[in-house]
Amino acid sequence: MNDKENVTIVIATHNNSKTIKRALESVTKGVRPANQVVIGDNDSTDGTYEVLCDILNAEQVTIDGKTGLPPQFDGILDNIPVKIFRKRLSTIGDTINTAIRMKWQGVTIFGFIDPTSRYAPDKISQAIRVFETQPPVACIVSDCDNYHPDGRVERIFRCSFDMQRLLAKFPYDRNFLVRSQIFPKLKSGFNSQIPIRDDYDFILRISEIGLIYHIPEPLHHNFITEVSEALRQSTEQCENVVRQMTAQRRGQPNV
Amino acid sequence: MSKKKNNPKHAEAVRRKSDATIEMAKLGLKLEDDIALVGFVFSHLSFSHLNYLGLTSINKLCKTYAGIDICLFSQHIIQPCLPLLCPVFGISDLMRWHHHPLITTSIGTTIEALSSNAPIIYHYAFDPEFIDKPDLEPSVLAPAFCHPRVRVIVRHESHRKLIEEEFDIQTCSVVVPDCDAEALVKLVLKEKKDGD
Repeated sequence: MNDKENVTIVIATHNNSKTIKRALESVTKGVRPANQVVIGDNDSTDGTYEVLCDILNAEQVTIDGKTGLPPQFDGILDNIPVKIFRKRLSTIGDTINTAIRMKWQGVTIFGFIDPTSRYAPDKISQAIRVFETQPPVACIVSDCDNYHPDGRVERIFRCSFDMQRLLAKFPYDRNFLVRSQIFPKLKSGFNSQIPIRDDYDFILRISEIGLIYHIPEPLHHNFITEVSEALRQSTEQCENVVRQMTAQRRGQPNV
Repeated sequence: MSKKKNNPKHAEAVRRKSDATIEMAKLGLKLEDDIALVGFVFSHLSFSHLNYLGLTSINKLCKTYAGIDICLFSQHIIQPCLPLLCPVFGISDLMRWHHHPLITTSIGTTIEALSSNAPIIYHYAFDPEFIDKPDLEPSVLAPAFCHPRVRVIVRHESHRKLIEEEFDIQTCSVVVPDCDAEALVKLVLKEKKDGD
């Protein structure tokens, strides 16, 4: 690592046993791996936490006469420290906030990754290059490749950040990196009250204090699954709530 | 003569002239050339990735090169996200723009610039905006890329392939990342000089 950055990657999981290993390895095996990874499991019922314990060789412990997997564990994967913990079911935003609080000191860049996605090997190194050459940049987003169930790979081109365009539509996803200095300015982390699209709210709030830089390269890969109509509607409702909150914060009439 | 040479102000003037000559040579210009005038057309000047980096580099260009005048045109006159070192005009002032080159930064500004007298319009396609406009007829979008007076400059190699395949055109061989005004002006002035 030829840079002076300290990169912590945060992953919040909920029933991602089949994809978490792929996501985790993409940040520990890249051209420029993360300095550490924190994974918060949001009370998964499909064995995600067991998979994580297995990857990190966590052994069963006995607490108060009960034997089971430890509620949190510090392990090593590919020489990268990985911290895992599990907590009671709450929102993804709440789990991410808990993870950020656990690994705060000395961190210069926080990266977030959707547990169903995978970082490209050079995503972190490219982000560091931008952060180091463009000081006003607070957050880095990128294009992506979508992997469809039929084997088709689709290159997704996205437009760069523009305040009005971002307010009209959320074109990005949870796979982005931010400067740690933004958190004191934001006064809070992710909005734990929003069940979906807390990432949209987070990026909108960042856009009010710093520049969002878009790298026009497919620096992460999304694996597409079928989205139910109910989830699509819930996402739309949450996006509308986020827009209304943003309009209120900015003193604009409701959108 | 020796009196002049011994004057420290003369030595300073010679140094500054030499610096200015070197700077102008970087853009393929000579100090005795007419002042080059280049227009940039933005949709608006408020905070965005394109505007912040573009306006920062335009300000730097204004400070560095004495022989270049930059004029900004904006479709929407609102407060810019940065203090500017060059004049800003409304889009209607494009009608009075004569034979000087224009650099547009979006589909909308390119279509608007086509109504000016600028002989060549350099469409700096920062974003593949046409992907977000599936409802627009190709006949509406095409002039911004295919009009004989339009030359397209891309921000990234992958955008070049996408635009060339979509509109069946040849884009400029130079790729300009991050709305680097110096690189854009250099390209435009070099082409203008070659054309003359």
